[in-house]
Amino acid sequence: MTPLLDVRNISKRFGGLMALSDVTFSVGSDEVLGLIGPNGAGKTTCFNVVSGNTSPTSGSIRFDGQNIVGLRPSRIVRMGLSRTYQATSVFPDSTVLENVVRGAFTRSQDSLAGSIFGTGASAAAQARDRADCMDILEQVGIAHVHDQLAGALPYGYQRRLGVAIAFASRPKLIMMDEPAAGLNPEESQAMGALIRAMHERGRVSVLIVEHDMRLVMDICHRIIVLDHGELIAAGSPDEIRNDPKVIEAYLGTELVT
Amino acid sequence: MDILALLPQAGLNGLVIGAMYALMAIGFSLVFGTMRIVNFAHGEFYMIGSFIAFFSYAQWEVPFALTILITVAAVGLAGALMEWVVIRPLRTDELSSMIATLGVSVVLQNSALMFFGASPRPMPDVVSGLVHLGPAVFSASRIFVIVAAALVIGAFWLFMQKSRTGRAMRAVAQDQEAALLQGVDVERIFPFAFGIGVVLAAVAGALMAPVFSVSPFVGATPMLKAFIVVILGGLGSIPGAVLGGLLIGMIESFGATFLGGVVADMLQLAVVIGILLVRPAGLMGRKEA
Amino acid sequence: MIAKTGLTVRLGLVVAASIVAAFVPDLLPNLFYVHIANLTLLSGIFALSLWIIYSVGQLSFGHAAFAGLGAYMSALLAMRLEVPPAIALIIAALATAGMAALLGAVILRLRGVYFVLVTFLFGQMFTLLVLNWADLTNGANGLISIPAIVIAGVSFGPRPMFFYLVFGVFLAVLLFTWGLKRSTFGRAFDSIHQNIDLAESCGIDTARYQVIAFAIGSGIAGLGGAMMAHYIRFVSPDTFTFHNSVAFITMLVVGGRSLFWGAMIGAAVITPLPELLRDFEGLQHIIYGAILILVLRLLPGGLVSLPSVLRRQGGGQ
Repeated sequence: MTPLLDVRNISKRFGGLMALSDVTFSVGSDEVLGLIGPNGAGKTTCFNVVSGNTSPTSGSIRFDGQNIVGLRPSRIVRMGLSRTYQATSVFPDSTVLENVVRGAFTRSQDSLAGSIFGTGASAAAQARDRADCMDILEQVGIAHVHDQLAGALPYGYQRRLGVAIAFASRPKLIMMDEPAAGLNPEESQAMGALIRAMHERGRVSVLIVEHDMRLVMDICHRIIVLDHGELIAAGSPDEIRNDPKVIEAYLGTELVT
Repeated sequence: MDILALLPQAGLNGLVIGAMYALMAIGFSLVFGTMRIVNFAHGEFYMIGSFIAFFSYAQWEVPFALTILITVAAVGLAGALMEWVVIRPLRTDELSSMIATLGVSVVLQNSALMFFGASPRPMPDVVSGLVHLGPAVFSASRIFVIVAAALVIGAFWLFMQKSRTGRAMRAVAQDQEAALLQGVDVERIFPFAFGIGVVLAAVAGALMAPVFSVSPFVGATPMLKAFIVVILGGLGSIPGAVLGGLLIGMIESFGATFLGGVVADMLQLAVVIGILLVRPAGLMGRKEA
Repeated sequence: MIAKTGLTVRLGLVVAASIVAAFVPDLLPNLFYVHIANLTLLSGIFALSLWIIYSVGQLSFGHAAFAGLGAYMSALLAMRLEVPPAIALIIAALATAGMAALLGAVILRLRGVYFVLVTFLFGQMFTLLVLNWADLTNGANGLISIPAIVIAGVSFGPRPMFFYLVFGVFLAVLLFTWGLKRSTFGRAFDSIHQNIDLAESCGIDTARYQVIAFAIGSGIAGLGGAMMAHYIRFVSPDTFTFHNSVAFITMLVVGGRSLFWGAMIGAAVITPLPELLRDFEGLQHIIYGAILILVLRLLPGGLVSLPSVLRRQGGGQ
């Protein structure tokens, strides 16, 4: 069976700097894959190349059997590969619920003509979108603040909202850029539980870039390790934990196990 | 007149206009580079500079060197004040600060119109006579403008390289956060940068006042050209502004001589829009993240 | 909430506004005031169309050029090819939208400052082109005796008659903008305005929507420009300059940028101003600029935010 996301031999050069060289990995259906590595290892570049924000210098990326190199990010999202951002990224002047509705934009059955004239069919479609998005807010645990402005939410809630927005497009694969960045240990643990729950309930694959080792070891089925733009290891959390190359790459940094 | 006689004249005119555009563009670029602000009032400071020169030098017969110093002091203060009162409170919003400079431009231009009237005033040359270079003959006043502009650009370059404030400005232009970390007081730098930026425009206006005439509307064309030059050279790039200014001056001078001014103008705009599309950061600008 | 501001309410408002409008030309003391009302409604069309572009986070500094493009195209169609003005202005509006779409498709990668600069330069190029393509545009002298709009034998040349027409068109543009704001497009536009990267990650093709907004806004400006040409019966390179673009931006800022009807209020406040300030010749433009700066500094949300600002201050005391 072909994997859901198939990344082959991608390289990315910025000027003279090789940010990624010859990286190959894949994410299967219903899998949670962790991507780790020390600072400057090329994790974010790798992430941006897959999500279409930058294009690779060479290599191929196939998602769901189709080539996605050179496609606009929005196109890739519509194919079922969505992403979250490392920093909080919300629509600050809209309500929490409206934020999630926008995440579901491409799925909405609301039509342009209907929504311009304000027809009953359009109102019904919008009501369905809202109900659907309230469900997602319930799942991430912030349904009780659905009518507040997203920009006014506390940081931890904004992070959860970011996850809700990405899930709203009903992706096949969701890529999460450091979902626990800036969260305290309890919040981080809760975020891990949330990701796992979303994965199990939604049958969605997850590719997660994260610094918090405990989180990665906890929720990932498989982990790949980048160092200096190269893939140096791949395997189960236990294998990675004991891989000498990984330990060497992380030498001097604290490896929380 | 045959073509060979036209060439040196066109070249000299190109240098004169180019020097003016370079001065305008450096100031414009400095403000954009350090503060990320497009100053739509930049041309009005050119206009103010030429009016100061007109009154000080032609009316009250103050020596030209002193006139330039007066221009620098008066416009520098005015610029710093404008930064402090109008721009500082709006800095977080790129579009708002840009619109505010538009408002300042409207106020300045129409104030000049109200006080001085619309009719252009001619101004006497600072130096007169002819300069013979080989077979070609040039007017000394043109040479004077070129030399003076080169001196000002040189002084500005020294200031940016050697003085603490100048170095701080370059640091801020390069990376505001890094400059903050190095202990540069960014808030203190901004009025300086803005003041110096508009002073360069005013000096260009003062130098060019005898070449063109003086009126409330003289700032419009140099500002448009400054836009074109900085787009060509890269927003925020000082060497780009100098080279771009000279290049546009030459294109314009030779274009006007051999093609007609209007065609040259249209050509410039088309080329610049083209460059913006292919290389938004300009020919020499660095890519913005 | 959706039902309340739905179709029926809007129809009701339209009927009410139309009834009031029907009496306006008769109630105004003389034709000069009708003229001012006409200009104000035209400004309203320009400001609303600029708001549509602003609603995707872009500011056009060449909006007047698109109005001018529409004006010249419609006038030339009517004068040279004898197309009925009512049809000519629709063709002109569509062609202007097409031009904007073309330009937009090429400049869609530019954001913020760069977009502003290109639209500014486009405006300059338009003026130069009109000045110098004298065979077609009659250069600096402009086009005179542009025919008035005639629909079904009724001429909308006289000021009170034009009032009814421009009011109808303004209302249509207003309702369209309102509908657009509430539509799926409006949701996409606002998402882009608030957070363009996240909008892209929501599957919204941000470049496409920005071009669409630019084309719609510029096309409506072209329609307004064409109507103005057939009303004033004259168009020259001075009719639509950078200063007009600045005036449209001023309307947007003074009225309030966050809501589409802010643009409308801005047009209503700014357009009659020169006439009120007639006694202060020369001072009027200075006041224009000063108002622009003062509003930016003291009331950044524009006039539409005044009630909430006052309420907040009242509550604080």
